[in-house]
Amino acid sequence: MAKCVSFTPRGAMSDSWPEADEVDALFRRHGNGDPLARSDFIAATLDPLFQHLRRWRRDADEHACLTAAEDTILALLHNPAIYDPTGRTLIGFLRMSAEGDLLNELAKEARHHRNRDSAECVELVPDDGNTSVDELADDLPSFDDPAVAAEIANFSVTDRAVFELMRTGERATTAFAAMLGIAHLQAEEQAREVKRVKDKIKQRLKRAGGRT
Amino acid sequence: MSTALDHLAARVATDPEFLASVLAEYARSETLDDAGLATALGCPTADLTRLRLCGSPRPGAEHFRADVAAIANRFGIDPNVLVAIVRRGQSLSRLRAGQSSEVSPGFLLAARDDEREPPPATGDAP
Repeated sequence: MAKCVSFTPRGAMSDSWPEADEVDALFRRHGNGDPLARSDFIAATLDPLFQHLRRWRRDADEHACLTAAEDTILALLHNPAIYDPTGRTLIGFLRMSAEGDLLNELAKEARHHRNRDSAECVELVPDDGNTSVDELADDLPSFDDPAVAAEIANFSVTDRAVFELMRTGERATTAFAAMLGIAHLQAEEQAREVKRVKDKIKQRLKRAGGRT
Repeated sequence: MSTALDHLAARVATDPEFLASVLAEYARSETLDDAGLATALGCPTADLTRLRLCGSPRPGAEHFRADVAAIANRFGIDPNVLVAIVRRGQSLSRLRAGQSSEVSPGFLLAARDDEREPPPATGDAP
């Protein structure tokens, strides 16, 4: 029997998404227990998702983008119920989830580098101007307030990731800057932009009835 | 095959939901590299990545047979060969899982299953 596996040359990456109907059909086959569907779904979506992340965050390294794309696809295959077909398209869902996963990955990397750097320091150095924005972290509301939860649900992927980082008590401008893709800017500009995004988030939560 | 697919296929080698896990167990037990595994399966080495990314055959005789047949058919593998390799890989996975769990329940079960006659009563018995 002729094989219907379409292979691209070794090392090559397919940059284009298949038709939405095709991706939906592969996902349905997976849901029906077809053991080939996993392989077909991954082959159809991994490379385009990876390339999407590379374009979306040109400052992110390749490994972080690949890890995020893999995490997103594996999470979906392990738990197909996380995708709500009444919301967005499956491709849209994959892109959005992967963007969130990439931001988490970048934040994790930033924290790792910061911890490593601080472990190597023998003398405390003055903070690089974070106090003006990081003093806000302790006042953030919880998801318990329905109005706040509704507002958070409408956050962009980036704002949501910044908010999550604030909730963890993260205080380093560098961590937020890495997440926002502005690590290449001067420290002062980074601090200004981080403050602007944090203030915007706080304002939205305040308007929604939060404690801030 | 893309490098991203290769990377993910390697990543799921310990995920029992993927065929990669049983293939990895089999290859390890036979000390096979990719070329050796492909030879054992009777497929091109280039097909290994997509093969590894397939789902593991579902439990239950009917599902198992159908799943193995579908995978074998797609990749041009002899279904009997694939069955043997998958079964061996699964057995090794179970053994590995068993080794890492407690052994005392097995001993207790063995004691309950012992159907030998009890030793004859001694003179001290009532």
